[in-house]
Amino acid sequence: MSKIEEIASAVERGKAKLVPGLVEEALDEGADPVEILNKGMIDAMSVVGEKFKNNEIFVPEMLVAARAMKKGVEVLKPSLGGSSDISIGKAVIGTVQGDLHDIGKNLVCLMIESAGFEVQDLGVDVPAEKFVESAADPDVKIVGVSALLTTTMPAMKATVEALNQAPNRENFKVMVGGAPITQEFADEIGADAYTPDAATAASVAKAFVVG
Amino acid sequence: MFRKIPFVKAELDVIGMTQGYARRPGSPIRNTPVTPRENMISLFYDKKPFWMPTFGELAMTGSEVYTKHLGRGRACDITDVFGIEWEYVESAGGSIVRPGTPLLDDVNNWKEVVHIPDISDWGWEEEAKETKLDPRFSHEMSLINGFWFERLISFMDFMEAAVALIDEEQQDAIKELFAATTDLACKVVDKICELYPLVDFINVHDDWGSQAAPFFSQDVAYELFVPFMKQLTDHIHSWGRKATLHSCGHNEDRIQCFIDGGFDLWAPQNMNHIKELYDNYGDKIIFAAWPEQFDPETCPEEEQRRIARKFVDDFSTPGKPAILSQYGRFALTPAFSDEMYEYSRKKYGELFG
Repeated sequence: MSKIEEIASAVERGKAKLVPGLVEEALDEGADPVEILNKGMIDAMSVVGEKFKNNEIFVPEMLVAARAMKKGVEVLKPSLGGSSDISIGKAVIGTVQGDLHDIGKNLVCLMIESAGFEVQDLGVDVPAEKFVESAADPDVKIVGVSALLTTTMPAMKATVEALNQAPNRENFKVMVGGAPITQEFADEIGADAYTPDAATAASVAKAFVVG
Repeated sequence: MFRKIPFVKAELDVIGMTQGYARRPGSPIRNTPVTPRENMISLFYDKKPFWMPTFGELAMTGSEVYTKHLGRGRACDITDVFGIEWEYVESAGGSIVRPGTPLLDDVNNWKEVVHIPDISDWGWEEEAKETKLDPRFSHEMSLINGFWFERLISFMDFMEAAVALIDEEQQDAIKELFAATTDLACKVVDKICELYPLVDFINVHDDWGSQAAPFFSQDVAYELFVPFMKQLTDHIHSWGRKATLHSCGHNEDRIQCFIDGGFDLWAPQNMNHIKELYDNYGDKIIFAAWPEQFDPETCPEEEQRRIARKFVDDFSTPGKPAILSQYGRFALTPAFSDEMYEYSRKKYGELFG
């Protein structure tokens, strides 16, 4: 097994204590930092996402894998040339105004970050104006909007409508999710995508940006 | 002998309404030959009900003493006995801990910050004296926000709680914490059973899943949760009461955990496949089930009656009783509920009479 394969295996198993050392060893052996990132970590997280979607693993295993990757990225960062090596774009993600639920939103943040995005977590109970203000950053490629209550779906609609009015709307994609949200609702309010879980959100976001 | 009494139309007469619970309307009380409580006890103990009961006939009740100190069921912000601040969300009709400032970041530290309370002087006796329960009904005392995963989430926020479940360095501490919270739960059960002879059921909450899947694996469930569930349900049973479970989420894959945890009834949410669960496990645990969906505003009365008969037929296998779930409350139109009562009353008379 190559060092990069070892890193991938450790990330998949959520071995946060092992990953930094393995990354250091890989760098010492002369491995390409971008390859360590892409093949050792981001690809590993794609595998984790698939297993999560198929109920082969559950939330805790996905979380520890994402955290293990994060530890590895910390070691890797100084060796990467610039931010374009590390990030494929910026994603801003939050739960709509009036809604305090953060579980799904947090999972999406972690998985999207693990797919190679720089993530700005806006938190919960976020007004539409805050989403729009954050989306004004020209580096933002994805805006993720979460709602967990049927009663906060109107706030999601208002948020997406406000985002759709933004002058730089063509710069970013709007993704929505949460327990009561459906593809039909996403279409109705003018979102670019609805995804049912965090792993799918990560793969769809990545597809939007890198094709 | 009552089983021999043939159905008569006068049984459909509504002679009153139950009190309702959690700001929801009550259920109709019919002119039945035995009381709803006798029906419910017959359903749970002999598995031979007289008619298909609704969730409203398992009359949910709550203890203000419990919710004030340990729960989250009040329509206002509260700080519970552990110091957790619950924020009431009017539009959702429930409370949530605003995330971001957890009490606990590592379960190994729980003894330093989580103080298990002495519940004896909370005013249980005074509350019980003032509480009037209708003796015609089985009453189910709800312990909202239970003693295991939901409690851990309230202490740690969701993500840290989830990670702790598979962190070998925290698992022993979780077991210690759950042993303490389960002991606390048993003391609450003692108070309820001592003071409320009309409470036949203790309803325990622990949400285990999202709309798509359980939060954690079956191995984790058996390692960290099931033994404590069993301890609590054994304790409930030692008082001659039944244990019912409220566990939100797509948790059908954890049904064996709930059975081995000793629960007598589970009310799954409707993202679970209720008929499959019933067919495969209905002899081991009672399900609160629901009929096929219809729009009460537009569905013709005859169609509603057909759906009611099908619902009874689907969930009336001898040895596998069921009740209509609160997730089937959309169906409680006059036509549906009349038909469900009359058809099940006649059918059960033939089956068990």
